[in-house]
Amino acid sequence: MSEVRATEAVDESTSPEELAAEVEEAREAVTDVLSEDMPRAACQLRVNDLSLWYGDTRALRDVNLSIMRHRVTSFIGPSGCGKTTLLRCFNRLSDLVPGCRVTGDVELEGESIYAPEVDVSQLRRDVGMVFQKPNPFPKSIYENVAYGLRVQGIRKRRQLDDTVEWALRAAALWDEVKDRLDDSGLSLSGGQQQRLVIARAIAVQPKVILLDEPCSALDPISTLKVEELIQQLRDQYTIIVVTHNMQQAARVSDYTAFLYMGEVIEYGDTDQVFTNPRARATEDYITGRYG
Amino acid sequence: MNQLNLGQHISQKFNEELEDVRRKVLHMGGIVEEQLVNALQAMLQGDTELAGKVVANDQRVNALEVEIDEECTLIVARRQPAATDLRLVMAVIRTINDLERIGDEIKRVAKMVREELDGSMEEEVRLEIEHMGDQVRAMLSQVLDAFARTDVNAAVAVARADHKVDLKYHAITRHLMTYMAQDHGSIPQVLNVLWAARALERIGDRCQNIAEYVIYLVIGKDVRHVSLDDVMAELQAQGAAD
Repeated sequence: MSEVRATEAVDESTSPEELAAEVEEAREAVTDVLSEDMPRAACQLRVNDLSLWYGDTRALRDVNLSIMRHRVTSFIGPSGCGKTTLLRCFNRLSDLVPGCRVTGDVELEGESIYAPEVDVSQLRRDVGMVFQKPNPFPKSIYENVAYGLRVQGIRKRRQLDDTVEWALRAAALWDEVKDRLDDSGLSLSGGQQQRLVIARAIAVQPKVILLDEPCSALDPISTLKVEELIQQLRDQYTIIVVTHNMQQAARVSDYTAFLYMGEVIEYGDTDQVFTNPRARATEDYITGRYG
Repeated sequence: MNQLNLGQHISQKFNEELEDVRRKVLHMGGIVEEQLVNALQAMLQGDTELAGKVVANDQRVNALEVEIDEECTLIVARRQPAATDLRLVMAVIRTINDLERIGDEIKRVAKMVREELDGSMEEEVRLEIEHMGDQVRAMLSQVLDAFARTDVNAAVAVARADHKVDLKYHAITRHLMTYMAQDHGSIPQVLNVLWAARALERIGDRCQNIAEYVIYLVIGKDVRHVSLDDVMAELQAQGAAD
């Protein structure tokens, strides 16, 4: 399964091992995710003074964040605080909202994603997204995962088979569906559907996976499976999770950002945020106190 | 963030559970304090009846430890506390363990009074034990106070005071060794006094532990095995930053 990835992901100049070593080294140099001068190799996404308006309503206020490569970052905060809005800026889904206006910038591996020459379809392949409600296409399990590859023009049956199997294995779903790949994706349970959607997202080899409340429609066991999957994927992908489940954020993420009224109030190491938050507002939110 | 704000949870029941646990810890501490006062009095006056009462009362301390421990387990299971709430529950679980062990040390002293110490101590030794007892009692009462008021400075003061108790213990040890060298017949008697002094010294250590949990509770930093000067320096830096 790793060969599929290897043939596509390798950059001519560096081997995956070299890249991983470089990233690891850069990451170790980071003592504070808030630091402005995070080494480039460690930083996957950088948000610079990002503000967003829906008409006259300002939904994000001067957000500055560095998202660590190949780590899990979670966004927490009360409803309407802007966490999903921020997430949608990372693959420019926000462009689709009428009356939405963005200032500031988001860089993916050092390149602005709002630059005029950016191919938004390519951006959305690089930055995959999974939504709250599982949304498999009304197609077979196989075709759900192969869809993105077909869109990219891949026709070779062998390559499609390999990638579908790899993605389904990576999404911890293969053993459950390998004998019924031709069944409809909609015939799966909610938890399986969500993992199918994650398999579909990773089949196109994104750099970043955005998960918008991926478990809020799932039962506790399916939730644990998705959380386990996040842990397994974190070595190869940069993952950002928006969640209302604070224990989930504490369990799965390396870094946590607390947003409130469109601002990042606190951003730091998850362990620190959940045991000893710096800001009173964070404390009140995660302990369930009146703000 | 010096206050626990236990009354501000959206869940009223959660407020009550945490407040209840906190109150019970203070209640348990109050009983231990009373036990210590009685044991010291029994030892210094050779009051075996009072000593017997202290031994019997240790049950109350043990029962409270079990009860509070169970309540903390339920809070963790039901509420998955975070931040200060989590630190409070952790500090409580650790504190009641040390309080219970303090209770055991007190019981040990009281048992010795009942069985062996007859109050016929050399006046000089009596004064030193009495002084050490006062030091330890002050530590216990101050650390419970620091817990009740979540007062870091008071907790640091208690942690520092343990050093004085240690010094006193060493002084008494040296003193008692001289007695034993001079009069071999007094050894069994003197050894008992030594064990009692040892028990008081251990109580001081456990008060220091509790002081460290209070510091953890308030500032979120584990200061076990860290120099107190470093802690104070950091606190001052934090205070300046705030």
